[in-house]
Amino acid sequence: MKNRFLFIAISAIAILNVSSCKKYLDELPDNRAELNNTEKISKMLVSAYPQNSYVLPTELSSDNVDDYGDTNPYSDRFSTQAFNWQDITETNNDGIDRLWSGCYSAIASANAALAAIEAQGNPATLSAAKGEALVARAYGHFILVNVFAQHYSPTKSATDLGITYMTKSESTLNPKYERNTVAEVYDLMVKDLEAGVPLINDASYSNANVAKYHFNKSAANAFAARLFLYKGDWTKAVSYATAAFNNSPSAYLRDWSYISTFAATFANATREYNASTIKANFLISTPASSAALAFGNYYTGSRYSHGNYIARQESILTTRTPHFNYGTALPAYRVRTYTYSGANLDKVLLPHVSYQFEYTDPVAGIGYIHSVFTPFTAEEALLTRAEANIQLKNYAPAIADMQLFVNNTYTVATPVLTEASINAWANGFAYSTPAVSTPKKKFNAEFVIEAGTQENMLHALLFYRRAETLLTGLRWFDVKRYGIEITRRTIVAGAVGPISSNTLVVRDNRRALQLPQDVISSGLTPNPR
Amino acid sequence: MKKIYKKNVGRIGYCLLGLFCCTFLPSVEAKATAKDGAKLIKSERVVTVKGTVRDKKDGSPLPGVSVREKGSSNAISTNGQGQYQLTVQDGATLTFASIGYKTVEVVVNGRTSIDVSLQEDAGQLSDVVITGMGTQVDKRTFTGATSRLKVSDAEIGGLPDPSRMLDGRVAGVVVQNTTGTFGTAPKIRVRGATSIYGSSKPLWVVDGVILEDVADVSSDALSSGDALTLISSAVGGLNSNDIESFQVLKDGAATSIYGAKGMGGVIVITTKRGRVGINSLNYVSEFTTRAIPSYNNFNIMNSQEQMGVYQMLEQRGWLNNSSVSNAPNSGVYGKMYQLINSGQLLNTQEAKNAYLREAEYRNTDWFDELFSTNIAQNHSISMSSGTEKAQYFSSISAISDPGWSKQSKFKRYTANFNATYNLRDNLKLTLLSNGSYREQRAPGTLGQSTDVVFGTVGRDFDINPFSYALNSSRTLDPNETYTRNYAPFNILKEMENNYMDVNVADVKFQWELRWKALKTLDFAFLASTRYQQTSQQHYIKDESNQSMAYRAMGTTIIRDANPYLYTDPSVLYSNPISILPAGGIYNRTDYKMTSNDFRLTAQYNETFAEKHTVDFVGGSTVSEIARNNNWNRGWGLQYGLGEIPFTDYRVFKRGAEENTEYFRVGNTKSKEVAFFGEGAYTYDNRYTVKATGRYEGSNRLGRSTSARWLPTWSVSGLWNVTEEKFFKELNTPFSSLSFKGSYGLSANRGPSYVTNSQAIYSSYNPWRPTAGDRETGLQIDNLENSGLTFEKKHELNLGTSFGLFKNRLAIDVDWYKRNNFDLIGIVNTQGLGGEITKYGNVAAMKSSGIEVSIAGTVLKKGDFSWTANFIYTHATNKVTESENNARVIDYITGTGYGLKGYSARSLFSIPFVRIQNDGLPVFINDDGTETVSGVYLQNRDKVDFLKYEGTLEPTHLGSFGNIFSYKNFKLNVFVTYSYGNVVRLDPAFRTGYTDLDANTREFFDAWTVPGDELRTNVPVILDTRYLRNDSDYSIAYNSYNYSSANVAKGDFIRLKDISLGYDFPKEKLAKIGLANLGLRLNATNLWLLYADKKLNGQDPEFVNAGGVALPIPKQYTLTLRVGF
Repeated sequence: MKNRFLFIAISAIAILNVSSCKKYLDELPDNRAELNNTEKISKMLVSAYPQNSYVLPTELSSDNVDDYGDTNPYSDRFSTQAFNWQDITETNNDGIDRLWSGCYSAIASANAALAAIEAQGNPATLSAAKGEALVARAYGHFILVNVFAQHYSPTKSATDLGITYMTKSESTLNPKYERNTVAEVYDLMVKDLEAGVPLINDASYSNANVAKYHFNKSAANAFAARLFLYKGDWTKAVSYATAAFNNSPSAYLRDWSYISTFAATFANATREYNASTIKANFLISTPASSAALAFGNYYTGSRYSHGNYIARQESILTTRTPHFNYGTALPAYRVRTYTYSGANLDKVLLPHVSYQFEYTDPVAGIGYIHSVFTPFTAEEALLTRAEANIQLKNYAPAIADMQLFVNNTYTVATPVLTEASINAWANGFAYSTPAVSTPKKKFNAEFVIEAGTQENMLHALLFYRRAETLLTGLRWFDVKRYGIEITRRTIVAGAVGPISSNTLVVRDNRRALQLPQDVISSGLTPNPR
Repeated sequence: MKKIYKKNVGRIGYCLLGLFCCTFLPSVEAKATAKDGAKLIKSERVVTVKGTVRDKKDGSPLPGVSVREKGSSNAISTNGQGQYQLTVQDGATLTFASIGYKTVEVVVNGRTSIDVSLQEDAGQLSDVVITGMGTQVDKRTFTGATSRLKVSDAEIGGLPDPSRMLDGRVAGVVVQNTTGTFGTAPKIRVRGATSIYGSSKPLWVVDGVILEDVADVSSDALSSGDALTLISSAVGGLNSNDIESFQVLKDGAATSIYGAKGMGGVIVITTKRGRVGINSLNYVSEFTTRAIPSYNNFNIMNSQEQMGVYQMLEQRGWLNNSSVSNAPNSGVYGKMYQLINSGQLLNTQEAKNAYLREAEYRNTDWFDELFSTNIAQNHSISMSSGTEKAQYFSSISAISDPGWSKQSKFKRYTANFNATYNLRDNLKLTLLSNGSYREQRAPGTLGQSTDVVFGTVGRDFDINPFSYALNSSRTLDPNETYTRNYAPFNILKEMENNYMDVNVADVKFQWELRWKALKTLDFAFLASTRYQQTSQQHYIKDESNQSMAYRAMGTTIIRDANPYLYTDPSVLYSNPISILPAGGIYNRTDYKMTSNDFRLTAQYNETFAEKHTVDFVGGSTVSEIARNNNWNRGWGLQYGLGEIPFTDYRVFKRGAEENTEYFRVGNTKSKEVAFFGEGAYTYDNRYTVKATGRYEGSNRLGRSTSARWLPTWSVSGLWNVTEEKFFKELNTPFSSLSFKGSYGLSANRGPSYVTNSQAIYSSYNPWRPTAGDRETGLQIDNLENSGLTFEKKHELNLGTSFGLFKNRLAIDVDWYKRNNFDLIGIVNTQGLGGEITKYGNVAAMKSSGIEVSIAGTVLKKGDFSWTANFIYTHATNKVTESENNARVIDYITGTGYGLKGYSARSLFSIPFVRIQNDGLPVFINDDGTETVSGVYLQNRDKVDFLKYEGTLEPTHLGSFGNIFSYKNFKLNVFVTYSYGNVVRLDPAFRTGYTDLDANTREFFDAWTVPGDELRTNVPVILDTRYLRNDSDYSIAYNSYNYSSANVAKGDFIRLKDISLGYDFPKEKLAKIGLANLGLRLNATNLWLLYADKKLNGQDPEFVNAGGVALPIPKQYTLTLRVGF
């Protein structure tokens, strides 16, 4: 009897032991946070935005830059690889390995928040956070799929290699993944977006300035508009773009009169252009990147630059524009174009990327270079709506939007944009060739484009879009969308010099940048080459 | 029963309770047995016994020997002639005890005169191995690899930190004195590195309690010279006179009882205790003086030679009026131009020449200015007494060291009390408490930082006296003010105005209860609490260079160039302004730690049929360590105005814009629970087999339950050949011989930054362009790695120990092979979680070594004897499994890198080829071509071009100790040696030098004219024109600093200590009432008998990192010992 009692007592204690040891050891070892309340979950989303950017590699891969020859010393291996569509192996802040892990890390933060929201039972207090997390997750994948895969195509995307869509946090040391197809990635993005955008609530951010670093309502809708534009879902692109500026675009357009007071200094102009106080800026990105050096008033990166030839022949300094023929004068922008020329220097810039330095050691002058830029602006959303309308052959509203854009961006007395002026402008050029550049590049798009008005309207639209997104890397995606071919050439003494045999053909494998070396060597299927 | 425990001990109790209750059953029975046995038979007759106690060696009478009637309090001490008289029961047993002698028991048996000779006891405790786990194991049956070091054998006067005593004394233990500043720990490795990224530090155990560090300083950071290293020595608060012995546990069998902490070896310290029948009071005082370093030992130019270099620099455009007078740092030339510009010196060649000539003749001895021979004192007094019922030991010590260099004084006080009371024959209570308090001053220092772009390791505002003396030009006038960081600077004044006060308080309370439930069964319960608080107050006063630099804007050039000034971005066209218009800076860092330990052990030891001995130990421990650290920086404290702060609000604005904080708080808590058991069986004292296991859980890896628990184990055996019949019959010169072997698993926690068995989220402030855009967020620091586990090690140890010629020569040899696996290493993943490079248990390492210690009496003739001790350790390791993601810069800097196929701390160099015909250095680049400035230091892809130099940790080392005694004189000569490693020489080469720099004489060999490249490997002192053409030359010069041309061998032989002691004859002392009196003079670190000439006087062990680091000085100590 006594023995039995003892046995029971000992067993009871043994069980208590195990459970109390568990409790005892459950205390966290340090001040690591746990995602267990609304505030912390919302704070997690601060890191759901990539801290690295696609700007430098995609801009250098696009037709916005020319080679100024190997006598120009201001280049590095990274920019040479990006310019020539080689596999990028250089690792620096702009390296594609950083872009890869930067986007996936942002996705991981979004996934962590989503898992925590799920664990909290999806309360209403967290619906804004849930919306932001879903949209941010879609955005991370959007960058990845557009950089590392062929562009979306209704016919080929079901088999084209996309990227892996992550919906859960990684929990083991070195898991192996399969890549989704491009179509699958787009479907999943659409699913996240359509669930997420309606939940976004601007009031959930601490103030209006801080909201510019998050998917606020405008940014989320602008993103959705861009995604559907890239996907070729024109009606949805129109409606989301309209929602982005609340159906009153003029109220959202850039206040140039304020920004141009800073125009004397390039650095100040770029800073103010990307300021969170500017209403036209929907989402601001502050990546650690040298893009602002390459696309700023520095010698850095001037071997592959947007120089005078390209600017005058194709882009922002073309005197014949769809809205006005400037004749011998240069087209005037609300904030001036910055031209830098000299020995080994030929850059024509708009103040789109701001160079800012974060000191970690002010004495040694060590820190991070931040290239602040605005991936979503009101103007870009406006042009997205115009483009989608052109595709839908709603020319009148498209012209009205472009007119709005022109009035706000250029200083011209009476700019008149009509179907006729656009047709006249577009028909005034031959298709661009490597030897003789024009703003009219031959389209090889996956979707049907009617020759004549529709094609001409699209040339005009892309002309404005190129100016609006200049130096921020988006041109590369337009090149991919429209299947524009690029042939690399060298500019010698301000004119086209040797033309290389390196042409990026339609559906060239190199339109999908190769995955980072480490990722391939640990077993993920590389892009075909 | 259960409830009471719950109330009193809470949750902690439960874990212990399990074991306690399991052991409760037999203990109830044990009680009854003990009672029965306690009935003693008393005799009735009484006798008076007289006699003399003598020393067995020389027959001299021994005063002060305790003579006691066993089992009673009846006792007396012998007088000055060694005589005693005591009245006792006839059947009683007399106990004769004295410190340093073996205790003798004699049964009276009716005699009235008993003379006794006591034998000196050299290794009174050496037959016992103290594992620190509350159990003692007979050395003859101890199967693991261990070494015991008695403090009386290892003591070196004038080194108050006990950890330095181990240097060269114990086979298998490597002590690298990377810095000699008090409070900093030497780099100690037991059997070499056990981890690639972890610290491999050994575990310190003092009186059964693990001594945790108050702050985590990795072994590489020990040589950083940062202020934190001042509190890195775990045992810095222990008085070495209180220590009885060190027991170093080396192999798996010995350490596996410490489970997941013991992988790096365990050093168990036992402090002195009171002993039955011995009353003593001892006073020890030490007086230490240190030699001032001399320029004769270093290869530094004198002022005349230095001025020659300056003239060359002037010719090459470095020392123009326009640039130097506004330069951030300038010396004689800068001062001269400033005087000219302010009209105080004529701008003529004669006046300038006269001014410079004065400097040329100056020959300032910075060592004399900054170092002194001040005498440091260390006083320690201890009392000890004991009866059968109670024993106690108490001591107090005080050190007052005015400092070898300026601003390095410290004081330390320690107190130590321990008492044991025998509540009953079978129940013993021990109380221990000790405390220490230290106040120390150090020159003000900020953290070290590495510029990965150009490869320079720097420290802002460094005023370390040793590195100042080595690096500062001897042309400077010590009483003149020159320019540093654009502000006036004078080292002597700066020392007064920029310093740190470190205060360390450390107390420990400990309670032990031992209950001998049965003759064969022991229980022990231990509880201990330790509290340590450290504060570092860094005073940067109004007049200090560092404060002045924040307001230096003498000219617009300076204003625009001074990085400490602030340009407000929200104000258009604003000029830089000072954010410290008045006052200085006050930094404070606090570290606090509370640790609680509970341990319960049971030991069962029984011998059956006189042949079969079994020994079982079971136990559990619970521990909890809470750490807290705080840092804050106060701006604008006006030291000169009654310490009133005057803070400019822009300090905070700037901080917000640059994303820097002005205070930080951190709290960590580590908790552990462990169960352990050990079983040993010995047959006939000949064969012993033993198994040990431990099951341990910790909260370190977060709430993940998968990685929480870890079992460790070992099996071992011993064959004591001496006890074999056949051996006894063989009649060999071997007087003893035994073999042992062990195999076991032990583990370690791995680097402190890898704890992501669950995802780790931390808060951060993302960088934003303006203060209005800022917010706080959370980010993923580390993704979850559900498979994360401890770093582990399998170890095979084979050893033998034997004595020759009647144990005149004792030899111990241990050989081991270790297989370290599950080590934390880098793995490159697909990166879909957001991290391409992760840390995980993917690396492995193999290591092996051999340890030999030979002790013997070389000569013994009459009053003369010579005993010698030779120790040799060989340890190598090789990383066998590890992915790699390091940058070139990580391979080539002085802390080394663990690359697969090489040792865990390997040093690589950029291959230097030659000096080319314009004096610039040429290297081989990653593509095999020659380059000057093309080495990309951040390259991760191609590192194969680097040249392997060797390991940074010595592979062969040891010591040779000799003790010569003649009558009462004792001469000790102790030599340590170490070889097999390489050292990176101090980076001395730069693209430009200022008129503050001191150059080494190598610069005489620098390339000057074409053709020199045939005779020299020292690159040209650059012309400013070069730099204007290509700013990348600084990469070339740093490449040179880290090239194969700038490496030396780390081999050395050091005369570590030489001492002469004299003990006054006891019989004479007895007349004046003293038990003993001794004097000793020792000279420590006297000279390096051998070192690589390339080191130019640099100590191969010392890492000249600036900050608070100082080398171990050459020092002379007089020690006086008095015993009553």
